[in-house]
Amino acid sequence: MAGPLYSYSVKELAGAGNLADSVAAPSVQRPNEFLPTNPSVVNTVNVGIAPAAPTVGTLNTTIQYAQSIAADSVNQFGTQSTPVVVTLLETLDDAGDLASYLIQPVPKFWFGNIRIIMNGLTDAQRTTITNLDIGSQISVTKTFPKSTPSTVTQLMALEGISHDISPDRHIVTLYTNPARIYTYFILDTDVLNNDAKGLG
Amino acid sequence: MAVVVPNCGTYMVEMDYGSTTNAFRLDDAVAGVLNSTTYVLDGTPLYVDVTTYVKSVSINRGRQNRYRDATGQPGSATIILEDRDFYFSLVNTGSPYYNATQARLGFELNSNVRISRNGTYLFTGIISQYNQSIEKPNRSLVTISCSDKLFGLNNVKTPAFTPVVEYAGSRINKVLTNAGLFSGATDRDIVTGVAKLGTAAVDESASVLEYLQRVNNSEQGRIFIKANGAFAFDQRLTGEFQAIDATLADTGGTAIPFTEFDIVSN
Repeated sequence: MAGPLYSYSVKELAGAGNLADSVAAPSVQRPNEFLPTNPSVVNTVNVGIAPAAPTVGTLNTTIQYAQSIAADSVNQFGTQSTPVVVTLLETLDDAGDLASYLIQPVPKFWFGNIRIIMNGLTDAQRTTITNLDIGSQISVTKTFPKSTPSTVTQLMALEGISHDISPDRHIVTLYTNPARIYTYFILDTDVLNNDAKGLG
Repeated sequence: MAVVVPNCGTYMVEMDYGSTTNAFRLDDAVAGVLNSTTYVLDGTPLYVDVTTYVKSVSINRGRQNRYRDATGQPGSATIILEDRDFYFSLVNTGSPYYNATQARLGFELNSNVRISRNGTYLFTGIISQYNQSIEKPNRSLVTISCSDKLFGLNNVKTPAFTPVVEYAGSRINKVLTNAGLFSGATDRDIVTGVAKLGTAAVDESASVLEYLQRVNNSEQGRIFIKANGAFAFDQRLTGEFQAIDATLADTGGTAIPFTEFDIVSN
Protein backbone atom coordinates (compact mmCIF):
# COMPACT_ATOMS: atom_id res chain seq x y z
CA MET A 1 0.00 0.00 0.00
CA ALA A 2 1.36 3.43 -0.91
CA GLY A 3 1.84 6.06 1.81
CA PRO A 4 -0.56 8.96 2.24
CA LEU A 5 -0.55 11.63 -0.49
CA TYR A 6 -1.08 14.50 1.92
CA SER A 7 0.78 15.22 5.12
CA TYR A 8 -1.07 16.10 8.29
CA SER A 9 -0.58 18.19 11.39
CA VAL A 10 -1.75 17.45 14.91
CA LYS A 11 -4.23 19.84 16.51
CA GLU A 12 -6.22 20.05 19.71
CA LEU A 13 -9.81 21.11 20.06
CA ALA A 14 -10.24 24.26 22.10
CA GLY A 15 -13.21 22.84 23.97
CA ALA A 16 -12.90 19.97 26.42
CA GLY A 17 -13.87 16.43 25.55
CA ASN A 18 -16.62 14.58 27.37
CA LEU A 19 -17.78 11.06 28.03
CA ALA A 20 -19.38 10.68 24.60
CA ASP A 21 -16.07 11.52 22.94
CA SER A 22 -14.28 8.82 24.90
CA VAL A 23 -16.41 6.15 23.22
CA ALA A 24 -16.48 8.07 19.92
CA ALA A 25 -20.22 8.53 20.23
CA PRO A 26 -21.83 11.26 18.13
CA SER A 27 -22.90 14.54 19.70
CA VAL A 28 -24.33 17.77 18.35
CA GLN A 29 -20.90 19.42 18.43
CA ARG A 30 -19.05 16.42 17.01
CA PRO A 31 -21.02 14.28 14.56
CA ASN A 32 -19.94 10.80 13.61
CA GLU A 33 -19.97 11.27 9.83
CA PHE A 34 -17.57 13.15 7.61
CA LEU A 35 -20.11 15.50 6.05
CA PRO A 36 -18.49 18.29 4.08
CA THR A 37 -20.62 21.14 2.80
CA ASN A 38 -20.12 19.95 -0.75
CA PRO A 39 -18.57 16.51 -1.35
CA SER A 40 -17.31 17.52 -4.82
CA VAL A 41 -14.23 19.06 -3.21
CA VAL A 42 -12.94 18.20 0.26
CA ASN A 43 -9.60 19.84 0.90
CA THR A 44 -9.47 20.00 4.71
CA VAL A 45 -10.19 16.84 6.66
CA ASN A 46 -10.16 16.57 10.47
CA VAL A 47 -9.94 13.11 12.05
CA GLY A 48 -9.86 12.81 15.84
CA ILE A 49 -9.09 9.88 18.09
CA ALA A 50 -11.12 8.97 21.14
CA PRO A 51 -9.61 10.48 24.33
CA ALA A 52 -9.32 8.50 27.55
CA ALA A 53 -12.54 8.39 29.56
CA PRO A 54 -12.84 11.21 32.14
CA THR A 55 -12.10 10.11 35.69
CA VAL A 56 -12.81 11.63 39.08
CA GLY A 57 -10.67 14.73 39.44
CA THR A 58 -10.04 15.07 35.70
CA LEU A 59 -13.50 15.31 34.25
CA ASN A 60 -12.34 17.15 31.19
CA THR A 61 -10.20 15.60 28.51
CA THR A 62 -8.46 16.97 25.48
CA ILE A 63 -9.34 15.82 21.99
CA GLN A 64 -6.46 15.58 19.57
CA TYR A 65 -7.03 15.31 15.87
CA ALA A 66 -5.08 15.06 12.64
CA GLN A 67 -5.76 17.73 10.06
CA SER A 68 -4.85 17.10 6.44
CA ILE A 69 -4.97 20.02 4.00
CA ALA A 70 -4.62 20.11 0.21
CA ALA A 71 -3.17 23.62 -0.12
CA ASP A 72 -3.50 23.90 -3.93
CA SER A 73 -7.16 22.97 -3.70
CA VAL A 74 -7.78 25.49 -0.93
CA ASN A 75 -6.23 28.20 -3.14
CA GLN A 76 -8.47 27.18 -6.04
CA PHE A 77 -11.79 26.40 -4.37
CA GLY A 78 -11.53 27.95 -0.91
CA THR A 79 -11.63 25.88 2.24
CA GLN A 80 -14.00 22.91 2.00
CA SER A 81 -13.75 21.27 5.39
CA THR A 82 -15.20 18.32 7.28
CA PRO A 83 -16.11 18.68 10.95
CA VAL A 84 -13.80 17.12 13.54
CA VAL A 85 -14.99 13.53 13.70
CA VAL A 86 -13.85 11.54 16.72
CA THR A 87 -13.13 8.03 15.42
CA LEU A 88 -12.20 4.73 17.06
CA LEU A 89 -8.69 4.86 15.55
CA GLU A 90 -5.78 4.08 17.86
CA THR A 91 -3.19 6.72 16.98
CA LEU A 92 -2.88 10.13 15.37
CA ASP A 93 -0.79 8.49 12.66
CA ASP A 94 -3.80 6.32 11.80
CA ALA A 95 -5.99 9.43 11.90
CA GLY A 96 -3.55 11.23 9.59
CA ASP A 97 -3.67 8.37 7.10
CA LEU A 98 -7.47 8.48 7.07
CA ALA A 99 -7.52 12.28 6.74
CA SER A 100 -5.22 12.04 3.73
CA TYR A 101 -7.37 9.29 2.22
CA LEU A 102 -10.50 11.43 2.48
CA ILE A 103 -9.03 14.44 0.66
CA GLN A 104 -10.73 15.11 -2.70
CA PRO A 105 -8.76 18.07 -4.09
CA VAL A 106 -10.70 18.42 -7.35
CA PRO A 107 -14.08 17.15 -8.56
CA LYS A 108 -14.09 13.65 -9.99
CA PHE A 109 -16.15 12.39 -12.91
CA TRP A 110 -16.79 8.77 -13.76
CA PHE A 111 -19.06 6.40 -15.63
CA GLY A 112 -21.93 5.50 -13.32
CA ASN A 113 -25.53 4.25 -13.26
CA ILE A 114 -24.69 1.77 -16.02
CA ARG A 115 -27.79 0.02 -17.37
CA ILE A 116 -27.61 -3.44 -18.89
CA ILE A 117 -30.55 -5.30 -20.43
CA MET A 118 -30.05 -8.98 -19.74
CA ASN A 119 -32.28 -10.03 -22.67
CA GLY A 120 -29.68 -8.86 -25.17
CA LEU A 121 -26.73 -10.78 -23.73
CA THR A 122 -25.22 -14.20 -24.33
CA ASP A 123 -25.56 -16.89 -21.66
CA ALA A 124 -21.97 -16.38 -20.57
CA GLN A 125 -22.45 -12.61 -20.31
CA ARG A 126 -25.64 -13.05 -18.26
CA THR A 127 -23.81 -15.35 -15.86
CA THR A 128 -21.02 -12.80 -15.47
CA ILE A 129 -23.53 -10.04 -14.62
CA THR A 130 -25.46 -12.31 -12.24
CA ASN A 131 -22.29 -13.09 -10.32
CA LEU A 132 -21.39 -9.42 -9.76
CA ASP A 133 -21.79 -8.18 -6.19
CA ILE A 134 -20.89 -5.07 -4.24
CA GLY A 135 -17.10 -4.75 -4.32
CA SER A 136 -16.69 -6.46 -7.70
CA GLN A 137 -14.31 -4.76 -10.14
CA ILE A 138 -15.42 -3.82 -13.63
CA SER A 139 -13.91 -2.22 -16.71
CA VAL A 140 -16.09 0.06 -18.85
CA THR A 141 -15.10 1.26 -22.32
CA LYS A 142 -17.06 3.87 -24.28
CA THR A 143 -16.30 5.29 -27.71
CA PHE A 144 -17.25 8.87 -28.53
CA PRO A 145 -17.46 9.99 -32.19
CA LYS A 146 -16.94 13.68 -31.37
CA SER A 147 -14.64 13.65 -28.37
CA THR A 148 -10.96 13.42 -27.63
CA PRO A 149 -9.84 10.83 -26.79
CA SER A 150 -12.36 8.90 -28.84
CA THR A 151 -12.19 5.88 -26.54
CA VAL A 152 -12.28 6.08 -22.77
CA THR A 153 -11.81 3.08 -20.45
CA GLN A 154 -12.44 3.28 -16.71
CA LEU A 155 -11.69 0.64 -14.07
CA MET A 156 -14.11 0.82 -11.19
CA ALA A 157 -15.49 -0.98 -8.15
CA LEU A 158 -19.18 -1.59 -7.63
CA GLU A 159 -20.84 0.30 -4.79
CA GLY A 160 -24.38 -0.81 -5.54
CA ILE A 161 -26.54 -2.97 -7.81
CA SER A 162 -30.21 -2.83 -8.69
CA HIS A 163 -32.37 -5.33 -10.58
CA ASP A 164 -35.74 -4.68 -12.20
CA ILE A 165 -37.33 -7.96 -13.23
CA SER A 166 -40.67 -8.46 -14.98
CA PRO A 167 -42.07 -11.52 -16.82
CA ASP A 168 -40.37 -10.42 -20.05
CA ARG A 169 -37.36 -8.33 -19.05
CA HIS A 170 -34.49 -8.02 -16.60
CA ILE A 171 -32.61 -4.73 -16.33
CA VAL A 172 -29.49 -4.43 -14.17
CA THR A 173 -28.07 -1.07 -13.06
CA LEU A 174 -24.53 -0.87 -11.72
CA TYR A 175 -23.47 1.95 -9.39
CA THR A 176 -19.73 2.49 -9.46
CA ASN A 177 -16.85 4.03 -7.55
CA PRO A 178 -13.95 5.64 -9.40
CA ALA A 179 -11.39 4.01 -7.14
CA ARG A 180 -7.90 3.51 -8.42
CA ILE A 181 -7.59 -0.11 -9.43
CA TYR A 182 -4.46 -1.44 -11.07
CA THR A 183 -4.15 -4.46 -13.28
CA TYR A 184 -0.89 -6.14 -14.13
CA PHE A 185 1.28 -4.75 -16.92
CA ILE A 186 1.69 -7.38 -19.63
CA LEU A 187 4.93 -7.22 -21.60
CA ASP A 188 4.47 -6.84 -25.36
CA THR A 189 0.75 -6.19 -24.88
CA ASP A 190 0.36 -3.07 -22.76
CA VAL A 191 1.83 0.33 -23.51
CA LEU A 192 4.12 2.24 -21.19
CA ASN A 193 2.84 5.12 -19.03
CA ASN A 194 -0.64 3.63 -18.70
CA ASP A 195 -1.51 4.61 -15.13
CA ALA A 196 -4.02 1.74 -14.80
CA LYS A 197 -1.23 -0.83 -15.22
CA GLY A 198 1.46 -1.77 -12.73
CA LEU A 199 4.28 -4.22 -12.13
CA GLY A 200 2.81 -5.74 -8.95
CA MET B 1 -42.33 -23.33 -9.74
CA ALA B 2 -39.50 -21.30 -11.19
CA VAL B 3 -40.32 -19.10 -14.17
CA VAL B 4 -38.33 -18.63 -17.36
CA VAL B 5 -37.96 -15.03 -18.49
CA PRO B 6 -37.35 -15.23 -22.24
CA ASN B 7 -33.68 -14.73 -23.17
CA CYS B 8 -32.81 -13.97 -19.53
CA GLY B 9 -32.83 -17.14 -17.48
CA THR B 10 -34.81 -19.09 -14.90
CA TYR B 11 -35.94 -17.04 -11.93
CA MET B 12 -37.23 -18.12 -8.55
CA VAL B 13 -38.82 -16.14 -5.72
CA GLU B 14 -39.05 -18.16 -2.52
CA MET B 15 -40.75 -17.17 0.72
CA ASP B 16 -40.69 -18.83 4.12
CA TYR B 17 -44.17 -19.17 5.64
CA GLY B 18 -43.08 -20.08 9.13
CA SER B 19 -43.31 -23.80 8.68
CA THR B 20 -40.44 -26.19 9.30
CA THR B 21 -39.96 -29.92 9.10
CA ASN B 22 -37.30 -30.08 11.79
CA ALA B 23 -38.35 -27.75 14.62
CA PHE B 24 -37.72 -28.91 18.19
CA ARG B 25 -41.05 -29.60 19.97
CA LEU B 26 -41.13 -29.84 23.74
CA ASP B 27 -42.38 -33.19 25.12
CA ASP B 28 -42.43 -34.79 21.66
CA ALA B 29 -40.99 -38.32 21.73
CA VAL B 30 -38.96 -37.76 18.55
CA ALA B 31 -38.74 -34.01 17.92
CA GLY B 32 -38.35 -33.17 21.59
CA VAL B 33 -35.19 -35.16 22.34
CA LEU B 34 -32.42 -32.97 23.74
CA ASN B 35 -29.11 -32.80 21.86
CA SER B 36 -30.81 -33.96 18.68
CA THR B 37 -28.95 -32.95 15.54
CA THR B 38 -32.09 -33.44 13.42
CA TYR B 39 -34.57 -31.30 15.39
CA VAL B 40 -33.28 -27.84 16.25
CA LEU B 41 -34.67 -24.72 17.94
CA ASP B 42 -36.91 -22.79 15.51
CA GLY B 43 -36.11 -25.36 12.80
CA THR B 44 -34.87 -24.61 9.31
CA PRO B 45 -37.08 -22.33 7.21
CA LEU B 46 -39.29 -24.18 4.73
CA TYR B 47 -39.38 -22.05 1.61
CA VAL B 48 -42.22 -22.14 -0.87
CA ASP B 49 -41.68 -21.17 -4.50
CA VAL B 50 -44.14 -18.34 -5.34
CA THR B 51 -42.63 -17.33 -8.68
CA THR B 52 -45.68 -18.15 -10.82
CA TYR B 53 -47.58 -15.40 -8.99
CA VAL B 54 -44.88 -12.75 -9.39
CA LYS B 55 -45.76 -9.66 -11.43
CA SER B 56 -42.52 -7.81 -10.86
CA VAL B 57 -39.45 -7.70 -8.66
CA SER B 58 -37.13 -4.79 -7.95
CA ILE B 59 -33.97 -5.07 -5.88
CA ASN B 60 -31.71 -2.28 -4.61
CA ARG B 61 -28.49 -3.11 -2.80
CA GLY B 62 -25.55 -0.96 -1.73
CA ARG B 63 -25.29 2.76 -2.48
CA GLN B 64 -25.33 4.84 -5.63
CA ASN B 65 -22.55 7.32 -4.87
CA ARG B 66 -19.69 6.66 -2.46
CA TYR B 67 -19.18 10.36 -1.79
CA ARG B 68 -22.80 11.26 -1.08
CA ASP B 69 -24.41 8.14 0.39
CA ALA B 70 -23.50 6.40 3.63
CA THR B 71 -22.51 2.76 3.59
CA GLY B 72 -24.11 0.21 5.91
CA GLN B 73 -27.68 0.94 4.79
CA PRO B 74 -29.89 -2.16 4.40
CA GLY B 75 -30.57 -3.46 0.90
CA SER B 76 -34.20 -3.76 -0.16
CA ALA B 77 -36.48 -5.66 -2.51
CA THR B 78 -40.09 -5.16 -3.55
CA ILE B 79 -42.10 -8.12 -4.84
CA ILE B 80 -45.53 -7.62 -6.40
CA LEU B 81 -47.73 -10.71 -6.59
CA GLU B 82 -50.83 -11.20 -8.76
CA ASP B 83 -52.74 -13.25 -6.19
CA ARG B 84 -55.22 -14.97 -8.52
CA ASP B 85 -55.89 -17.84 -6.04
CA PHE B 86 -56.06 -15.61 -2.93
CA TYR B 87 -53.35 -17.82 -1.41
CA PHE B 88 -51.54 -14.68 -0.20
CA SER B 89 -54.62 -12.98 1.18
CA LEU B 90 -54.51 -11.80 4.77
CA VAL B 91 -58.13 -12.86 5.30
CA ASN B 92 -58.18 -16.30 3.62
CA THR B 93 -58.09 -18.90 6.39
CA GLY B 94 -58.23 -21.59 3.69
CA SER B 95 -54.88 -20.55 2.17
CA PRO B 96 -52.29 -23.35 2.12
CA TYR B 97 -49.98 -20.82 3.76
CA TYR B 98 -52.35 -20.00 6.61
CA ASN B 99 -50.73 -20.73 9.95
CA ALA B 100 -53.50 -22.24 12.09
CA THR B 101 -51.37 -22.15 15.24
CA GLN B 102 -50.81 -18.42 14.97
CA ALA B 103 -54.23 -17.79 13.41
CA ARG B 104 -52.80 -15.63 10.64
CA LEU B 105 -51.12 -15.88 7.25
CA GLY B 106 -47.68 -17.50 7.47
CA PHE B 107 -46.01 -14.77 5.40
CA GLU B 108 -45.40 -11.89 7.81
CA LEU B 109 -42.85 -9.53 9.27
CA ASN B 110 -39.35 -11.08 9.42
CA SER B 111 -40.28 -14.12 7.28
CA ASN B 112 -37.35 -15.14 5.07
CA VAL B 113 -37.28 -14.30 1.35
CA ARG B 114 -34.78 -15.14 -1.36
CA ILE B 115 -34.65 -14.33 -5.07
CA SER B 116 -32.42 -16.16 -7.53
CA ARG B 117 -31.54 -16.43 -11.21
CA ASN B 118 -30.35 -19.82 -12.50
CA GLY B 119 -29.65 -20.84 -8.90
CA THR B 120 -27.52 -17.78 -8.05
CA TYR B 121 -29.02 -15.50 -5.40
CA LEU B 122 -29.73 -11.89 -6.31
CA PHE B 123 -31.21 -11.02 -2.91
CA THR B 124 -31.62 -12.72 0.46
CA GLY B 125 -33.56 -11.02 3.24
CA ILE B 126 -36.72 -10.76 5.30
CA ILE B 127 -40.19 -9.28 4.90
CA SER B 128 -40.42 -5.79 6.38
CA GLN B 129 -43.92 -4.87 5.17
CA TYR B 130 -46.85 -6.82 3.63
CA ASN B 131 -49.74 -5.07 1.89
CA GLN B 132 -52.71 -6.43 0.00
CA SER B 133 -54.95 -4.33 -2.23
CA ILE B 134 -58.22 -5.46 -3.80
CA GLU B 135 -59.51 -4.07 -7.08
CA LYS B 136 -63.07 -4.61 -8.23
CA PRO B 137 -64.43 -7.16 -8.61
CA ASN B 138 -61.89 -9.44 -6.97
CA ARG B 139 -58.38 -8.79 -8.21
CA SER B 140 -55.85 -9.13 -5.42
CA LEU B 141 -52.41 -7.53 -5.65
CA VAL B 142 -49.93 -8.16 -2.86
CA THR B 143 -46.93 -5.87 -2.40
CA ILE B 144 -44.17 -7.34 -0.25
CA SER B 145 -41.37 -5.03 0.91
CA CYS B 146 -38.20 -6.75 2.04
CA SER B 147 -34.93 -5.72 3.67
CA ASP B 148 -31.71 -7.60 4.03
CA LYS B 149 -30.49 -8.59 7.47
CA LEU B 150 -28.63 -5.34 8.17
CA PHE B 151 -32.10 -4.02 8.96
CA GLY B 152 -32.37 -6.28 12.00
CA LEU B 153 -29.03 -5.12 13.45
CA ASN B 154 -30.74 -1.86 14.38
CA ASN B 155 -32.76 -3.75 16.97
CA VAL B 156 -29.87 -5.50 18.71
CA LYS B 157 -27.80 -3.72 21.37
CA THR B 158 -24.01 -4.06 21.36
CA PRO B 159 -22.93 -6.10 24.40
CA ALA B 160 -20.44 -4.03 26.42
CA PHE B 161 -16.78 -5.03 26.44
CA THR B 162 -13.31 -3.52 26.65
CA PRO B 163 -11.56 -4.06 23.35
CA VAL B 164 -7.88 -4.49 22.62
CA VAL B 165 -5.99 -2.71 19.87
CA GLU B 166 -7.02 -4.50 16.68
CA TYR B 167 -7.90 -4.01 13.04
CA ALA B 168 -11.43 -3.12 11.99
CA GLY B 169 -12.21 -6.60 10.68
CA SER B 170 -11.27 -8.22 13.97
CA ARG B 171 -13.44 -5.73 15.90
CA ILE B 172 -16.41 -6.41 13.65
CA ASN B 173 -16.03 -10.15 14.10
CA LYS B 174 -15.91 -9.68 17.87
CA VAL B 175 -19.04 -7.51 17.99
CA LEU B 176 -21.02 -9.93 15.82
CA THR B 177 -19.87 -12.90 17.89
CA ASN B 178 -20.69 -11.17 21.18
CA ALA B 179 -24.17 -10.43 19.85
CA GLY B 180 -24.62 -13.99 18.50
CA LEU B 181 -25.12 -12.78 14.94
CA PHE B 182 -24.10 -14.37 11.62
CA SER B 183 -22.63 -17.31 13.49
CA GLY B 184 -22.83 -19.94 10.71
CA ALA B 185 -19.66 -21.16 9.04
CA THR B 186 -20.36 -19.26 5.80
CA ASP B 187 -22.30 -16.34 7.26
CA ARG B 188 -19.43 -13.83 7.24
CA ASP B 189 -17.02 -12.48 4.63
CA ILE B 190 -14.89 -10.04 6.60
CA VAL B 191 -11.46 -8.76 5.56
CA THR B 192 -8.77 -7.60 8.00
CA GLY B 193 -9.10 -3.90 7.21
CA VAL B 194 -6.62 -1.03 7.20
CA ALA B 195 -7.81 0.92 10.26
CA LYS B 196 -6.22 -0.05 13.56
CA LEU B 197 -8.70 0.67 16.33
CA GLY B 198 -7.91 1.72 19.88
CA THR B 199 -9.27 0.66 23.24
CA ALA B 200 -12.20 3.05 23.66
CA ALA B 201 -14.71 1.07 25.71
CA VAL B 202 -17.68 -0.39 23.88
CA ASP B 203 -20.79 0.44 25.88
CA GLU B 204 -24.37 -0.67 25.38
CA SER B 205 -25.63 2.70 24.18
CA ALA B 206 -25.37 1.79 20.51
CA SER B 207 -27.15 -0.79 18.40
CA VAL B 208 -24.94 -3.30 16.62
CA LEU B 209 -25.54 -1.54 13.31
CA GLU B 210 -24.65 1.85 14.78
CA TYR B 211 -21.43 0.54 16.30
CA LEU B 212 -20.45 -1.23 13.07
CA GLN B 213 -21.05 2.02 11.20
CA ARG B 214 -18.82 3.74 13.75
CA VAL B 215 -16.09 1.17 13.07
CA ASN B 216 -16.53 1.67 9.35
CA ASN B 217 -16.35 5.42 9.82
CA SER B 218 -12.76 4.81 10.93
CA GLU B 219 -12.13 2.44 8.03
CA GLN B 220 -14.14 4.09 5.22
CA GLY B 221 -14.72 0.71 3.60
CA ARG B 222 -18.06 -0.98 3.05
CA ILE B 223 -20.49 -2.89 5.25
CA PHE B 224 -23.22 -4.79 3.41
CA ILE B 225 -25.14 -8.03 3.10
CA LYS B 226 -24.10 -10.06 0.07
CA ALA B 227 -26.65 -11.34 -2.41
CA ASN B 228 -26.46 -14.77 -0.73
CA GLY B 229 -27.24 -13.31 2.71
CA ALA B 230 -23.73 -13.34 4.20
CA PHE B 231 -22.45 -10.33 6.16
CA ALA B 232 -19.57 -8.62 4.33
CA PHE B 233 -16.97 -6.04 5.28
CA ASP B 234 -14.57 -4.57 2.69
CA GLN B 235 -11.63 -2.41 3.64
CA ARG B 236 -10.95 1.06 2.25
CA LEU B 237 -9.74 1.01 -1.35
CA THR B 238 -6.00 1.41 -1.45
CA GLY B 239 -5.18 1.23 -5.14
CA GLU B 240 -3.95 -2.33 -5.00
CA PHE B 241 -3.84 -4.88 -7.79
CA GLN B 242 -7.22 -6.41 -8.38
CA ALA B 243 -8.72 -8.69 -11.01
CA ILE B 244 -11.47 -7.45 -13.31
CA ASP B 245 -14.73 -9.36 -12.80
CA ALA B 246 -16.58 -8.01 -15.86
CA THR B 247 -15.60 -6.10 -18.99
CA LEU B 248 -18.27 -3.78 -20.41
CA ALA B 249 -17.97 -1.89 -23.69
CA ASP B 250 -19.92 -0.51 -26.62
CA THR B 251 -17.32 -1.82 -29.05
CA GLY B 252 -18.77 -5.29 -29.67
CA GLY B 253 -16.85 -8.55 -29.40
CA THR B 254 -17.08 -10.51 -26.17
CA ALA B 255 -17.41 -7.41 -23.98
CA ILE B 256 -20.79 -6.96 -22.30
CA PRO B 257 -22.86 -4.24 -23.98
CA PHE B 258 -24.70 -1.59 -21.96
CA THR B 259 -27.62 0.59 -23.03
CA GLU B 260 -26.91 3.81 -21.17
CA PHE B 261 -24.96 5.38 -18.36
CA ASP B 262 -24.39 8.74 -16.69
CA ILE B 263 -21.17 10.62 -16.21
CA VAL B 264 -21.54 11.28 -12.49
CA SER B 265 -19.53 13.34 -10.05
CA ASN B 266 -18.78 13.34 -6.36
